[in-house]
Amino acid sequence: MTGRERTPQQVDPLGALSARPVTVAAVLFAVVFATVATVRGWAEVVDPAAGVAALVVLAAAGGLVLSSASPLRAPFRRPALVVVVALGVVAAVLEALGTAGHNSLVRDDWASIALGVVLVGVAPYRPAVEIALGGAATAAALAVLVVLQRDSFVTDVPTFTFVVVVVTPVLALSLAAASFSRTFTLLVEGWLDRASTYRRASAGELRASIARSVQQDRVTILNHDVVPFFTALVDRGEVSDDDVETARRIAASLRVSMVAEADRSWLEQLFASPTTVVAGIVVDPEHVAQLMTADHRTSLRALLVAFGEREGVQADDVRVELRPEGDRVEARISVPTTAGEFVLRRRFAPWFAVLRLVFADLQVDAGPPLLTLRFSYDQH
Amino acid sequence: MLLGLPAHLAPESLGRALARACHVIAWVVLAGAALLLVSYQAGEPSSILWPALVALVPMLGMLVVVEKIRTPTSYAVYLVIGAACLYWYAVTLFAQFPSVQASDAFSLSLPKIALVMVGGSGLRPRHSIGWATAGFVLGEVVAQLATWQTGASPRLDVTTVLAYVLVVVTLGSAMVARDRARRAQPSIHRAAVDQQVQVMRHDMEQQAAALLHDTVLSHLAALSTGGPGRLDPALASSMAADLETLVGQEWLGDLDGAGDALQGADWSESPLARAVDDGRARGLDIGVTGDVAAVARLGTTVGRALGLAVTQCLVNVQKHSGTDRAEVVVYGDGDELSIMVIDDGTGFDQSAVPRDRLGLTNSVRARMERVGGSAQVWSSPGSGTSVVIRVPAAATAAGGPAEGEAAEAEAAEAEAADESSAVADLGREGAA
Repeated sequence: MTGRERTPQQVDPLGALSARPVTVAAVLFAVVFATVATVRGWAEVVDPAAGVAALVVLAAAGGLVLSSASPLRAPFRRPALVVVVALGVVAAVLEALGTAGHNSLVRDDWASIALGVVLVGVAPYRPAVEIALGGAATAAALAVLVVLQRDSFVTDVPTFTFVVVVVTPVLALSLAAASFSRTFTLLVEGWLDRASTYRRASAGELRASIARSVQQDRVTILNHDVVPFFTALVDRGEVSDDDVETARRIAASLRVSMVAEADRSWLEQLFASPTTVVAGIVVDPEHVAQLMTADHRTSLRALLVAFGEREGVQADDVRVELRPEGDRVEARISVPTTAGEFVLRRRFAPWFAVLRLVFADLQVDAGPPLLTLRFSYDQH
Repeated sequence: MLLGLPAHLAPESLGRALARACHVIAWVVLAGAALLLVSYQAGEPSSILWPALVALVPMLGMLVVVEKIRTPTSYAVYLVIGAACLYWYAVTLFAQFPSVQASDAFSLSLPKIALVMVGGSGLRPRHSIGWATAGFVLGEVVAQLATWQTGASPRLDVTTVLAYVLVVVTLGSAMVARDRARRAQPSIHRAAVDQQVQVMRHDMEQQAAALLHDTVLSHLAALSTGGPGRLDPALASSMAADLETLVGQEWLGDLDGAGDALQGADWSESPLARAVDDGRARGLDIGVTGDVAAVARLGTTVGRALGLAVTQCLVNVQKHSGTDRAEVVVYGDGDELSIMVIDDGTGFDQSAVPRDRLGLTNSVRARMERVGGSAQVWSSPGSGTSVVIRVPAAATAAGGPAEGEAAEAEAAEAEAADESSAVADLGREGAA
């Protein structure tokens, strides 16, 4: 797993999931806007191939944003943004080539607004600095293009004016997107800070109550065999043959239960827990379940518990297989299902999105009769 | 950091982040308008455009105000002052600049967009849409008024309309979309809490298991190896004492070595010294060297855990090493104490130790990890065994070597208590 980045998506994965409609709207807007602008200004297009290619490349950039922002491919990584910005610049160059020598008004060009709006769609997924740099790079490219085209403009103003007109929209939109990314991330981090301070404060109380409960469990077990046995022996002051045999038997059974407990992984404990519906088999001969980090466990536990609370999967028949493979652990989780792929993906989308953040290589195969998840994690 | 925002806080954070993004757009478009004016002025030195530039200043000032003070009053003041400035700006531009003679001029759109980007309350996206609408309508009305007064041509300003649509669509989707995905939020939060509880419980159970291992199991083993006959009084009193503790008192809890009161005791009163004394009482010849006074820098909990762990190490020496000599070395270094338990006995192959052996895993390693320390074992057949335990200690330079005391204690040698053979039966355990 690569490290977590400070992006809205990575500090609040479900928030990013709900921001998806904004991204879809932004990409659609950009493409429709560019198409309308091209059609309206068709009279100026001298190279129709370039004009159309510009739209196609813009659509490709938008498509890449949509697919990278998909919860099925989360998280949105830096290389995707670099490619989006590069495609945007290529689209702008093609647009300029399409109207070369005949572009009469800068403000009719679609590149600045369309590319800025595409970057708005990226806001929930990438850090502020990257979005701002993407906007700046696009603005620089547009500035160069407009300077090269200045002879064809009809308005009689200094070239610098054209530059300001062309860079303002893309800068305004990309900096707004960057600001959103930064503000939202800081707000979430601030909240998490406060929440964990509170959790630390309450951990002491929690610990005390767990200690009491664990001790009570032990005392109950001891009261069953050990306490009567020891009390009787101490009172009698004599050890009989039977006592020796009893001591051996109790020691053996205690040892067996202690070893079993020491070996029981968190997954087996979860499956055995009376408070959750989910149950099944854990195949973990090398005891690698314990190597998962707290984030791994939290996200996986949430999904497994959700299996028990939502329809469509047979939550009492989950199979978890963990197999060390080099310095990674390959995990495979399967559960019988009767629901269709689309329904399952949609129903469990939030949990898959969260899982995908901590297990970067998560693969979900949702075809009946089995819902299967495959992922891997480091053996630390 | 998986948690993300809880559902009830999400709208506010989202709203605030969107409001700030709107303000950034307003900043950039106003800066763009200012640059355009400078550029026009450079191209037409005869025109008088500075009053339009001055009109942008109050707008920029009010932008700072709405960013800092998020109240309906400040939004209203922003819109009113902004509208006045826009009128002034538009009239100046139409009157002074021949290239700008229509209400949809780009340079006129910019301050209008700044009005749309009033931002609005972070708490209620619906109100924010209302404020953006007010800004849009006000901007258009003022711009048309200026157009009509100066005789410029009125046209639909597509740029401003697009900016308005962008704001409404963004705020609107933030409003409707947030519930669907957030339904998983409580489940993630609950999983995180359950996870935390399970980790704590696992720690406690290990701690409890280590204690049972050192007490109940060792007594049982002593009984089964001792055979029938009179119950040894030492074992009887030890059993009685353990029963009282296990059933009658709270013996779990305080796992955390941090914030622990300093043990402060002399070497001779420390749990570590008692562990050594117990070992000697069982017949081991134990040499103690190094900076033993440094144990005073250990916290009470850490010191107690260390004593129990070293006891287990010495039991292992006695049972498995084939020698009756062991060396305990104490190093105090910075904020850490290292304790080595060394024997030159038969050693063992760590990979060949059965998994069901609990002593080294539970009674030494896990116990030390719970108080923030660690334990490492070096051994191979024929070359003896070293266990190195590291524990956190108060970072003060305390005392020098106290070998005199150690040597004095070394003289003590007693016959093996019944416990020794008993505890020893628990075996030597390797890495899990």
